[in-house]
Amino acid sequence: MTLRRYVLKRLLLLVPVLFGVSVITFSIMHLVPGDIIDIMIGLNPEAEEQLGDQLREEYHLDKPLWEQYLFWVRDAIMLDFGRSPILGDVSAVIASRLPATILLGAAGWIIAMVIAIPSGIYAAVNKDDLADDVSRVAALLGIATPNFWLGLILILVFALWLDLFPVLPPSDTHLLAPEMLWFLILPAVTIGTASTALLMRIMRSSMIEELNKDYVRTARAKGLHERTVILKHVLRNSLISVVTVAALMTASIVDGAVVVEVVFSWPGLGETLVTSINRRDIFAVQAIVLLVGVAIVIANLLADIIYALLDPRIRY
Amino acid sequence: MSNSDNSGNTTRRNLLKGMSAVSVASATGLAGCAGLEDDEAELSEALELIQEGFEEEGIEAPFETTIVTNADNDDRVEWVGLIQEVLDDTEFFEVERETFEWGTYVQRILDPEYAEENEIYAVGLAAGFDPDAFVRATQHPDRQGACCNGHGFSDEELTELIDDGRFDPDIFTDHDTRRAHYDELQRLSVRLSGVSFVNFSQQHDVYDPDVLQDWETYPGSSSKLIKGLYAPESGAAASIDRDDNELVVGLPENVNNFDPINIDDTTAATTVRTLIYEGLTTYDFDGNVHGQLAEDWEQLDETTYRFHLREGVEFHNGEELTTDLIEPSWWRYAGSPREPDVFEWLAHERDDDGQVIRDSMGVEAIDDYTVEITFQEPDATALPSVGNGVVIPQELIDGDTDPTETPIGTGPYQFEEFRDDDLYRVESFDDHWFEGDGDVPAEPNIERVSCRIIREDASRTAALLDGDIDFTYGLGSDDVVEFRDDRDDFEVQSTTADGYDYVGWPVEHGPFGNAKVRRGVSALIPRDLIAEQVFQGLVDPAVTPVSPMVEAFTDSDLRQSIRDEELPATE
Repeated sequence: MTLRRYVLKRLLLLVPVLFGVSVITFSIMHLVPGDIIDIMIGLNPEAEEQLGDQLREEYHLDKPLWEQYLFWVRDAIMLDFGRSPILGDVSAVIASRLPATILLGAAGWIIAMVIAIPSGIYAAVNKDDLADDVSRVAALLGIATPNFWLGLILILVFALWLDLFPVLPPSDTHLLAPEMLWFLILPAVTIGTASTALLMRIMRSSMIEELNKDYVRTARAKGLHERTVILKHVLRNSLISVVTVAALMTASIVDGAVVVEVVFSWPGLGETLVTSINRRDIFAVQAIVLLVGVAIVIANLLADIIYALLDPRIRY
Repeated sequence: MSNSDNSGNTTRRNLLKGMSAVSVASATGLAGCAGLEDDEAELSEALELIQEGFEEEGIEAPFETTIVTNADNDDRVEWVGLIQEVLDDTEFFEVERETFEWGTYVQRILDPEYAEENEIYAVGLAAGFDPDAFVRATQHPDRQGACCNGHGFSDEELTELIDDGRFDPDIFTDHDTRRAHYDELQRLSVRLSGVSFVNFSQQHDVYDPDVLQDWETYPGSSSKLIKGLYAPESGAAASIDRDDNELVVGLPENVNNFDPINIDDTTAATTVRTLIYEGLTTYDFDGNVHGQLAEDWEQLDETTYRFHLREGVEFHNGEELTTDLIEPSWWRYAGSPREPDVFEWLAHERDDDGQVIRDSMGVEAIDDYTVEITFQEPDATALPSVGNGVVIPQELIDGDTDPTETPIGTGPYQFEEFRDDDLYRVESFDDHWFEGDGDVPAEPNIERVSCRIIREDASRTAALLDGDIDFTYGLGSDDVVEFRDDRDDFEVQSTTADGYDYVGWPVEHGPFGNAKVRRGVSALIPRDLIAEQVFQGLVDPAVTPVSPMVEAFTDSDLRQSIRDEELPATE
């Protein structure tokens, strides 16, 4: 199977996966206790009675379930997620808040990669040395630290004691302004820490596994420089499991954002999600959950493609 | 009127009754801890009452119910947990707990149909300077579906007492008579316990005094921010010692609403209602009524007043204030969550569907600056009530601009910017009518007020310590105590707020329809434990409704005697 065919096949496989994601997200509306329209308007003293029927019609809730689903999917594909009674046009709110979350997530992800891969390699090469022990303890701490707590501690130390950062994001500037990027460091570290720790351990163990393989001995035997052996041969082969984990990290970074954004008052989607859940704002929750689901599916697709690039043997 | 010794509760996320406030006192009592013993002879008085009530209603214990509150107020969530525990321990009840986001929560409990829910709700109320608001808001049947009688509790005798206290001139024209009337009324209110009061809220402003200067915390929570910033009638005008002349406020909550007819919580009242909008009259810091848009007035007969508006008052959009804007501005209140602001006192008639007939409203413009206002009946709170209805420009009345997004008023600050859940900003309005006097300049000293919305208490505290914000309020009690005791760079100003935290019993459900049961459970509320443990001693336990701030109508002896005599013993 050529790489192109493989990619095509993976893309086709997306269809059932996305179908599953959409069905689950769609059913949120029907799984919440009580009638969704009652939740939306029933507790609004201004709402008039016919408004319920009107909304029911507008959201096709008077139709059979499968038809409702099709309408919903059509709207979702058109990026129309309905009007939330509080936020207004859900798509517009997401569009205004999504960039901040992507920026935060990407920064966290980059921090994780940049720290985890070299330190994982270093720990593997120096297995059972002091460096390895240090990395093990650090990884354990990193995984065990709840991110909201870490965020507060970072604020305390780096913003209050050392005064290197502001506590709040600058308010009158765009996302990519230098002071915004500077502020981004603490939340990005907070969100990236757990992933860094996990990734570092994965990097280390798959590296050690590879180091014990025959081809490594061969490479060394033929007199290759150790540096070449590690970076050229071993690294490439150990990256496969790292790629899997890095793709899955997308999920943990997204749910980390929910907490971290609140702690750092970061104007992203995570904060909106928390508020919307508390408000029982179904349309907003649905839209964000769907978005997260799709993001994770796509991250996994990318991981699959990168596998194939890294290891030509992989063609399922 | 501030009282930092027994200061307390964060009043953030309170429901808002009126715009008003006065002083201090304390109450004590017994912590309620009780368990249903096997040996019935050992039942406390309170539990006996509950048992009798269950028997009278023919209800088997345990009765299942839910206690609800808003998730974002840590202190409140904690004391609600204590009440839940105490009720569970009686074994008469099985209580679940549920929390909601504030905006959702308010809509929920102010829904006219809320009585159908089998829920004990817990919330705070900000009431003002007049004793009427403290009892009317939570116990008058007209306040079901408006602020703040969630379950529509009503009792004929109590309703009559409430109405007489405000509308019967034989009672309200003489202070001693009115005071005695409210003594009796409060006693009956506690005996019936349709809602139970938990503590008298306190307000804490925390700020850096090197930056924010001449700040004075307004007694009472309702309109605090503007009153401290700029209150000509009280001679208050804060200033800021920094070149940008911008005050950065850390708000604990999002601003939910910009339309005055929908503003039903203290955050929006603090930042929108009183910064941007004005009414004909207002209160000063001591609870005296002053003209705001009205320059002066005279009473024509028992129910009619003639008001003379200030001439040349401009709205933020350049329109001029004239008397013909009053009627359409007020008519908008009909059917809104703030309906009582206007239609509780203004003479009007309704058609068969209960809609207010516009031509029947007691507002008659004599000329551009003179208006006669007719009240439904002689009203103890006539003058301050008139100030509750704000006046908006034609642009908003016609709907050319949507007041839910862009507020336009006559106030000393005008709307500049709002980013949902992030930032709300106003700037001073140069053409505000006030021309300045010895104490207060013609325009606010502080040019601009930026409110950053920071829900997380710890982040808000850090932002204040770091100087990212200059001022905040609504911190949890732990943080307030720390700022007060350990951080000399910061100032904590505390006042008794004009309200209370309370729980509303689901009077339409099971045993809660029985007054004995309600009295029993009311006695079980561990008020002293809550005051000490949750609020670090910063609040006074409350059994009676009228806040110690309104000292002309309550005192600690009265509160103690009502507590001793009307609530059964819990041990």
